[in-house]
Amino acid sequence: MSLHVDVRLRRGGFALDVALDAGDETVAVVGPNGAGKSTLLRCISGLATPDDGRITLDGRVLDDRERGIHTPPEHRRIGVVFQDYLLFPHRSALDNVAFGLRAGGHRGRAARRRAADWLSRVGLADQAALRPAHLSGGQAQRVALARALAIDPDALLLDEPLAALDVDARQDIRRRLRERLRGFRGPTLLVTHDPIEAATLADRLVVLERGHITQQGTIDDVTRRPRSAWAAQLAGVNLYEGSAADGRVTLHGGGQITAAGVADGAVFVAIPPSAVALFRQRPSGTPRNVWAGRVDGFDRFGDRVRVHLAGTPAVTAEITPAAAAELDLAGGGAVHAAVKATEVTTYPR
Amino acid sequence: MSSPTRPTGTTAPRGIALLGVLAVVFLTLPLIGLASRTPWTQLATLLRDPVVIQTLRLSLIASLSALLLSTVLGVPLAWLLARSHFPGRRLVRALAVLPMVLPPVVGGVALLLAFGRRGLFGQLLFDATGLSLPFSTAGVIVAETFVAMPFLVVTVESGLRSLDRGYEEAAATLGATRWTIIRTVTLPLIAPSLAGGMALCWARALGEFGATISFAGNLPGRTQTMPLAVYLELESNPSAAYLLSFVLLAISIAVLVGMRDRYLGQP
Repeated sequence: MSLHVDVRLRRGGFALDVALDAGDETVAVVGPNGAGKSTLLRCISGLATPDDGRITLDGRVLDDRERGIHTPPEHRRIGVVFQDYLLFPHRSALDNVAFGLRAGGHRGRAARRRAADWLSRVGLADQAALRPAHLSGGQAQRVALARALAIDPDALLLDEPLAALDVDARQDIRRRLRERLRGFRGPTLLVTHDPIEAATLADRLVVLERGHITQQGTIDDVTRRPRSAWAAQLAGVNLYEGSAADGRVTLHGGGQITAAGVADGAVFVAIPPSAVALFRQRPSGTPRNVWAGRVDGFDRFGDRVRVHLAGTPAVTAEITPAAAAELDLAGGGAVHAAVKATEVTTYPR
Repeated sequence: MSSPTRPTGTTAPRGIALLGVLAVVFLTLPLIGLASRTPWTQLATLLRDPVVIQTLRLSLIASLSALLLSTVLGVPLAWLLARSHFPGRRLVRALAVLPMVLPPVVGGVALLLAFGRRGLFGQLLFDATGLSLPFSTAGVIVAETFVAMPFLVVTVESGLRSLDRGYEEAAATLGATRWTIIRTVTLPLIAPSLAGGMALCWARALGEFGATISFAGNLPGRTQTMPLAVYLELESNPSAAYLLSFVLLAISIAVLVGMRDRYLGQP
């Protein structure tokens, strides 16, 4: 099965312009709030009509604005798990799952039997008679997933499936959700703003910012070679844009970086914070990038300290608490950042 | 003693309390008056009086028909007002709720001019079918519907507006058609508003006086409903008027109790 999306949609000042393909895999759509992630899912599920473009699923044309085709949601066979699950409050868990089966033409008793089967598959056989108000967040999510899967959809969309859950419950539920998603054959699109969720559940990432895809690739690709400030933040690396000539990159925001084996032209420069060393005295020797800055702030990051340095360019360094103590960070004054040319990753823009 | 954690509203300024109590007294004294003067001993006899039975039956038939008509027409109107965007929607809403503030007698006169035998549409109706609404039970139903339907429209519309559209969207992704969604998701979810609107509508129809008497007249057995009978009996047979009034009061209280979640519950 494969899903092809190529849509444009305008709503007030916001413009969505997205082209993406998904096969039998889980693709995480990540990006900041208001990037258009949910709008994209609404287009694919048919709840929103793109102004322009095409959506096909397994050869079926769902949208083709040029030919005036718009398949309404009820004929798309796309399962959706909504952000707050949107379980029908006036129906039991069983009747929620049976809803789509009934709408699909299954008779009452057959629909209920299949729904019961789905509930036991997600481990909720004992909760079948409960109303959504009496389910825990994790149980509600499983009912929502069972309800979406029960219609035997050709594709599955999940909008922030873990956002409504307590932080404590998430880890366990995330793991089980991954197993269940693996059991589904078909394109699965997962909207999230949580990098851990994306990394655990998805095979591939699509970074959506201000309505446009700024990057897509494997999680490894995106975290090692981010192509936007947001992706860099997600990956936790320092990212700069610049022009390379003769092994040196002149950064657009000011400053220069020497990188090993950089090809001339417009490039991204990525420096992991762990590759940034800090010194009070300017270090000497070795082919290094060294520049002076001022400590702008620092915070704990696991068992490390992340130091934000204002300078040209600004940079975040990750050092040990012992090194931080030695540097006397709170004391103010100039600090020198040093990065080996071999630790700098560059890639064309 | 002034504790910052004291819940607001436990003590009220003296002036406000006084006026509030006065309001309660003003609202309840008439009820007490009615209850104290109702000739209870005659209740059984009165309720067996064929004229009273006839009036009561007509009132129930007319008000329930008005309720049915209001529901069939009013729920779709509420849906349109809440859900669709069309030019002049605000004007349509204003027109739809106008009967709530219009003096009922004026409503009755207006109905006469529209649906009377010489009326704007009444003439067409009469020429085409020979039917004439004024001074008929159908006319009572029309008058009561005119006055009472807005209560249902307003209540159901606000119910629809506060309903999360997400439930209907979820139903659509599960393969439900629009009609299935309205039947199995929308209506059950707005059931409290619908029930409240229907109760208000029915109570208003049952108590309708002004529009009924000016449009349908006061013909015993055909257009004389309970409120009309009360008014008439007040001259000739006051104790019957008191009893009939009390029956209407009892029905109103029953409606209120039925809707206690909406009007008698906690804020």
